[in-house]
Amino acid sequence: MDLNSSLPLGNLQCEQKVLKNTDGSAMYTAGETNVLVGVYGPADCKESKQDVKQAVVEVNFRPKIGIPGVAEKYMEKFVCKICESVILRSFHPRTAFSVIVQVMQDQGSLLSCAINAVSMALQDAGISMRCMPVAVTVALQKKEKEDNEMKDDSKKFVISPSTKDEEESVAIATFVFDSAQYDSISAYACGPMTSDEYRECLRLAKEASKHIVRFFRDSVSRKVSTDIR
Amino acid sequence: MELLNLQPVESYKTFLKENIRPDGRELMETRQTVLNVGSISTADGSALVKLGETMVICGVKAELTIPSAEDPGKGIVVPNMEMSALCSSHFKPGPPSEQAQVITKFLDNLLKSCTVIDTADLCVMKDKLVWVLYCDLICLNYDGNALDASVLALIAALQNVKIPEVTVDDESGLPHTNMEVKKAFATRGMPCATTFTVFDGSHIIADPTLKEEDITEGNITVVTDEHDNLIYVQRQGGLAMPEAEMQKCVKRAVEHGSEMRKLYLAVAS
Repeated sequence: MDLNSSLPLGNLQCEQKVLKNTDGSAMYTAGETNVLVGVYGPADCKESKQDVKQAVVEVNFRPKIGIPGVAEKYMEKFVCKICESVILRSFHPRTAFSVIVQVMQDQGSLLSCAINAVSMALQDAGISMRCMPVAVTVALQKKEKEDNEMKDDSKKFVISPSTKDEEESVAIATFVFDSAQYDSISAYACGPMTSDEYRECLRLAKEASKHIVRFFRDSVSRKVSTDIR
Repeated sequence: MELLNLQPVESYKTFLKENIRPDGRELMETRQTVLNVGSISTADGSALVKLGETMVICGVKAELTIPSAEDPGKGIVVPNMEMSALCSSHFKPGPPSEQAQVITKFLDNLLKSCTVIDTADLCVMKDKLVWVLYCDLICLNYDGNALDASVLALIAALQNVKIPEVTVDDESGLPHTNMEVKKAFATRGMPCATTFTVFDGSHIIADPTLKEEDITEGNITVVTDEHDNLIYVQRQGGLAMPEAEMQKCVKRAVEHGSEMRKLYLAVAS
């Protein structure tokens, strides 16, 4: 993957159609974090959950070990809201889309990796979407004053932080953009930062998201070319 | 008003044309907020918040426990939000609803990322004895925007916490709690949450009621601290939105935050 070497995004890998029985699936690797996603839909839906105007989206987030807890519920809700806003749900009233996210390996930036994996899986399933969601995580690190190497207020922004980077940072922000206009769809930022720092994180994330969209395009064209063969 | 129940979206649009909401508020105006602390005498700290018709009560119970081996010198804070069937027909009895779990996790993340409580302060004896603060929040009446109300209740209750003095006997190594001497617990910072939602992809409204939540999409929550820093930004779903709109929300959240901090200070004194 020649594209990766010039980027600070780490190793990016994506393989679609990894699961036979799902309508669409994707295995997405960003750095050392690895997520597997399977998508079903538009499929039958329990009458009690149906919506007469549009399809409903269910997201199931599975941790690497143990049973899903409150943290997973939070991720589920976050991913679900993104899916709801990008999928053209009014095309399929009274049906359900089911998205299963399985964490394979978590070494930081899990949320953005999961969202990108879901994006690729939805694409693989051929579900009509307004745009593809693209997520980028940025960590803000602040060094102690005695450190002379950093000049600019001793601030450092790390794109796609690893677990170690996340532990050392004061704030972590994950932004989700649409692949067409690069407007933000969702955001999750945790930790004290000024609004200027927030804007800087957003700007960096937006830059990085363009590279990820290019990566999406490359891996889809690779998939399509192998399909023809 | 009948029309508001039958054709909520259409009638809401007619209101928005006049830049006003059915309850008489402007788009960015929040509801009247009432904060009361110490109302539960059996708890170690408590707060009751009324945000319009939404009512959330928070009680903090302090218990002594053995710390985890990972963090031997740190106490534990456990928030838990409960939205029972009592507060709205949206919730069914049984295990905690999705929304309650999401709010619980939100509060947990918030406490970890801000400096309101330094968990090292909760340590009585390293590796032996620490305080664990169980913060139980119950939504008594739900009329939208439980998140802002629960943040307010949680922080005010934590500021209200008084824990008894603990002495450890040198010979036996057993702890002795002196219930006569209770000291207030040092909290730092006063985070305050402001929630917005988007109607029809173009109108941003602050502090939505339950009816407004049903007809709007995507919510934005901004938590600010006393230095007007952003501590927590959460934006879930909704349509793509230009950055200028987001900045408007941040600006409003900062204003609202400074108003709410007056409440914190008023009840603390």
